[in-house]
Amino acid sequence: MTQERAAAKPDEGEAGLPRLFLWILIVEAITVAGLYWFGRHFGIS
Amino acid sequence: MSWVDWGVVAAYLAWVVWDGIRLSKRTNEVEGYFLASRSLPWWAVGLSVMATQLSAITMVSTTGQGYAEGMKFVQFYFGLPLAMIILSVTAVPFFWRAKVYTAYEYLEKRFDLKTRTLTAFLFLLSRGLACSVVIAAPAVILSIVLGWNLTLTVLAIGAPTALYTVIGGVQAVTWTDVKQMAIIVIGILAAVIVLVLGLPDDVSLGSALHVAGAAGRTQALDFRFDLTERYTIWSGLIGGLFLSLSYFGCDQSQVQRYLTAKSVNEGRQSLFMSAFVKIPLQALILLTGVLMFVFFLFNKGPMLFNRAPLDQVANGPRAAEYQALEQEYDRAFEARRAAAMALATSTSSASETALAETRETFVAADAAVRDVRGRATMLVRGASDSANYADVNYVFPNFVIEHMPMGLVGLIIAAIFAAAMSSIAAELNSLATATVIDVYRRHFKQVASDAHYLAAAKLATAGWAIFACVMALYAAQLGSLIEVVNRFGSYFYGSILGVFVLAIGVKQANGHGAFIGLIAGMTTVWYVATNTRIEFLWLNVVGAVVVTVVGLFVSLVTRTRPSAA
Repeated sequence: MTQERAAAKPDEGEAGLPRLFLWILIVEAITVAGLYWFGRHFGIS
Repeated sequence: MSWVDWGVVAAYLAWVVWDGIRLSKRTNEVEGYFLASRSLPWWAVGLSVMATQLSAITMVSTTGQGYAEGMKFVQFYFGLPLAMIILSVTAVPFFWRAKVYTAYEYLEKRFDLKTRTLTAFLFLLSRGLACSVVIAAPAVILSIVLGWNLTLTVLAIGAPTALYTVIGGVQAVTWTDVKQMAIIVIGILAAVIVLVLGLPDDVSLGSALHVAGAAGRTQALDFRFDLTERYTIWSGLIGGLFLSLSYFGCDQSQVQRYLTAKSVNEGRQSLFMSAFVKIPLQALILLTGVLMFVFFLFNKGPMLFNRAPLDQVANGPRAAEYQALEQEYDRAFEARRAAAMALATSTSSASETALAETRETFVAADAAVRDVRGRATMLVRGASDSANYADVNYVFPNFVIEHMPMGLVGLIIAAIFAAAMSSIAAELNSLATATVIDVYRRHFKQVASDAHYLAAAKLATAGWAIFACVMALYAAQLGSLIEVVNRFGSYFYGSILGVFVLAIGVKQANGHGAFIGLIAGMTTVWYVATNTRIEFLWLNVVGAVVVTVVGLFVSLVTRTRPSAA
């Protein structure tokens, strides 16, 4: 088997990837929103 | 430092070497030494990925940045989770299934020898120099703050790291990274707790953060699209994405981490750990710096934290001028402390006008302190040998030594050592791997026994360790050190990323295109960096785009057409 074909072969972990990607994006969005709130809330006393 | 703190640091150094060597298995085989026979669990690899990226520069310089400029540096990491998503479906499966030892080895299989050799050479050059900066940064600072000899400090960091890396290979690196990461996080949390407890009794954490906010330290996000502004949400998302893609996808010091994973899926999961944790962790480190700023509003710190050249100034012709500045600083500090206390204790029932006046008084008092410190910095630069004199990297070590309780000082110093050693070990290991696999085995001795290559690997690790320690002794203090490392990397990173984009994503690309594209990319980055004011994060985008476009064009022009016959 060539390396390109081997690289293209799917594995059992790939099925759950879209859901993990979504979770990563959600956690990042929440973190960035939290940082925005932090700056707004404590920036105005 | 008390004898208890010395004991903690000594115990850490002895334990980390013993533990690293103890946990290494099957290091008498090349695959075991370089790739842990592809046997490591995702969580260990994930912690190793994070520990490799988090160096002592992060602990010392990032807290200093939080102190001086607030939270905005966190935007630098906004592209990282997106990069991890892209790499989990591109670089990780490609490299892992190709059964390569180095990322550059893959380039010969895909393109040709010259492309592999040039990218490996660029890695060895940039990572070898970066490794010396990673040693020099904490060594210079610790030697000044603790009064240690610089050469001995460099050796105290470099020698134990070299010892367990030479003997145990990548397994020693990974398993020590896991524990070092734990020590780093515990150390940072201990510093945060001491900082919060160090606030005056009538100042709550919330009030303290409001005071920091009035001084502009809590503002994390900058939405302006300005290529000359260093940290904005856009430079972080776009420039940071390209930098992270290059660092985690093309730099052997990171690629080698996930090549040691048990499977492709575990390699992916190791990167996802950073995707979830990196931004909150960096925010915590920057917050530590912000809390230091608040701490030093109420607890008097020195006018300048870097004390190294001050004796020279005190005994020189401008000593009286410096003393006058110190007296001015004392008055400005007291005025700022009073203003900060008034702002922190002003209740929400106070009128908007009264609150605004209190805030303005504090902002003016803070500006006065900064003005005195700025003039003192200029005076030191002019009156000593330190033309590049900088203060920001000395705030955290100074706080630790002067204000942390006995025992915890040793823990934080051990954490700074751990942060340095975890990065250095991974870098030495990857430098040795590229040296043996991409240079020695490919160009000088293609057939030999495992024992022969293993001996070469250990020799290469020791050789790079000596190189990094010697170069560290010559490394100058150049402002905020983490930026120096990142800026230097940005000169190469984007262009190397462009080569891997051609390799993995562009079917028509060939060796000539990749090689000429790489040279065109680096030349363009050099030109842009030296002739424009575009900030360094954007150089990664420039390099990657130029290499991809030029590489594709040259590939199409030089492709071999099928013979008409």
